[in-house]
Amino acid sequence: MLDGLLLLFEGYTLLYLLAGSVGGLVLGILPGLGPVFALAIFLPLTFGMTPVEALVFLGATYASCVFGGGITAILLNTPGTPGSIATTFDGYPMTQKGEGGKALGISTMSSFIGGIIGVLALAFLGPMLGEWSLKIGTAELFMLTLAGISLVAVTGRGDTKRGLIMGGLGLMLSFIGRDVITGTNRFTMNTYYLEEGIAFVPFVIGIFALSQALLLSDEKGSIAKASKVSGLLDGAKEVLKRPVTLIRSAIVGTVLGIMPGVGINVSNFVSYLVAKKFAKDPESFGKGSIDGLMAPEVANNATSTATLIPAFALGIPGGSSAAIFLGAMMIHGLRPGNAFFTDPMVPTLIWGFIFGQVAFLILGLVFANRVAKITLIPNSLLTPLVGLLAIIGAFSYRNQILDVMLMIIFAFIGYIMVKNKFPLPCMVLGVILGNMAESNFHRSVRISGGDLSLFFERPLAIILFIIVLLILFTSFIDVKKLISRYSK
Amino acid sequence: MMRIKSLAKVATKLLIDADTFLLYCIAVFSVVIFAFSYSFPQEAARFPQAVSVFTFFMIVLEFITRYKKKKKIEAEDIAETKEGKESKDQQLEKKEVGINWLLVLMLVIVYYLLLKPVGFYPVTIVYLLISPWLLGYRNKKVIILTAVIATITVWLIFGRFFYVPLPMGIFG
Repeated sequence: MLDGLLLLFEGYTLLYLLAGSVGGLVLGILPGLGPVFALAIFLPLTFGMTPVEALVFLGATYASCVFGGGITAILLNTPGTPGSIATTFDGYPMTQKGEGGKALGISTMSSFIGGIIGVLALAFLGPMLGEWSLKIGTAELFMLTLAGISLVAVTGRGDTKRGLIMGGLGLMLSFIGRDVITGTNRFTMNTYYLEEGIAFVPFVIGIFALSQALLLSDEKGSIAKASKVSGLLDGAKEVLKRPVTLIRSAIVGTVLGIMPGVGINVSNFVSYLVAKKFAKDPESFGKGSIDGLMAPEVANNATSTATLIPAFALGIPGGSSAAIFLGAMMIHGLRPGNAFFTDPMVPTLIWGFIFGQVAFLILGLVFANRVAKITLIPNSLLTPLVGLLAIIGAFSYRNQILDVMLMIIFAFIGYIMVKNKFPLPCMVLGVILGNMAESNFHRSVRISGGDLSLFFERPLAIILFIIVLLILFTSFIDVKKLISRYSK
Repeated sequence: MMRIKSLAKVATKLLIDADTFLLYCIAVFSVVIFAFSYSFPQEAARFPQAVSVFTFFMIVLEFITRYKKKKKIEAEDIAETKEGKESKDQQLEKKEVGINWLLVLMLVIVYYLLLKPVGFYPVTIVYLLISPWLLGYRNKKVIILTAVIATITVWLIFGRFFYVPLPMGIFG
């Protein structure tokens, strides 16, 4: 483990870590952009890096971005990311009471501790899950990817049918290109460009980054107005006086992070509600309660790292951010599962993730108030810059100009889809998992000599199949209503 | 100019309320995937066919749900209009529609088309000078400074640090 720490100081890893932290903080503060945007726009920058540098850079970006979302939530009542909505409940009332600095200190320290607990969960639970993945065959792997695909129903909760339609669209897009088993070119329109399938990086940049810039361009003026604050260190000390809230919120955040399809958008709310339920003074919640501010901030940073556990250990991304991480891993030649956790670079990666939390702690305590001023940049100046980064990012993937066109097409599709409330993460999950599901299915069928009963002979495959059915069933049917109807 | 603006607004409105159109597009895409997969070997065709049928089925289900909802909303709408309230269509017409997104998209497409023949440096500088101005930003000093700094930063990071061969165009 110590060797891993020493390796972190070699090459440019620490420099990339710092760059990721600063970039993530800036993009986290800007409302409407968020961690998925940050990861998508920064992904092309990793092509020249080593795998460990790339993952440390993206990890630092992600952690810092999730934290950054809380700064504007506290100072301006404008959550930078959907994971910071619950932060506004008590963070902004503190600012109104003139305790903005203290609130920022609480947010920074809470996010730091939450993030560290998330990284520890990744370090200890990840290898266990990875080792378990060795014991499963192609039939179970197929069922596992099927469970991953069925998560689109969870991701699109509230509109399950649309979620499944978008998941289906993503799967169909994943079939474009050369078939992994038979080598047949499918839906390539006889073009060489499509033989390798839809290029993931231009696709992600278009869907999440440029489309977001198009949405931002419709809003006039700048994002917000900033104000002066002080007293950050006092707030940071307050967090350490409340170990119970800290541990409870971190557990909530980690468990929800491991559960695919949940993510920071849900965990910050759940953690807030749990803290309120156990609070001695629940009436103070919503009026500037320290526990009320701590709970979502601890949870969302714990969740952000914990979401990587199923992605790294099983290759099942629970959401868009984890999907981009998985994409980055594959681009750098890394395979998820036990092979990943037995790679000698993992200790360095874990240290990198820990240092990523330290970086935003320092940045947060020293620069939070100053960085918040970037919300004053007018949208008319910001959107062309995002457009430029998106174009160069897509081009730098393979130095192919056609990738830029593909990115623009997906940006247009993404914009129209968002405007019409179609859940984009479902489509990304479909694209990521399509080929995995198909290749595992065909390998299983080949091993069993064409017999499909293989999927229903092995106990784990059956359990996973039941889970898939349960996910789909509970997504379509309001279980609570059903129970109450029958209990009557 | 006014005509272009009003045309853009109409196009935007159509696309923003393109819910049904998008579902039709995905349905057509499913049919195309299903039909084309017949020419593949059975192993390569199985998954695309299964997924396209499933997606098509979900779209049909979505239309059925929406039809039921529409009937319900129409009944409520008639009741509300009778009470003197605005109908949903009238409310939709009043909704303000921005066209800046279309402008940004056009600028990005023009940038893409000129990137290879003209080259990274001139196209980027011109793009960053024109775009904020067209989007309504008027501080010339800030625009020029941003254009120069952003071009140099992108060149340094991508071109020098990550060795991305940025298109040289007329300078090549």
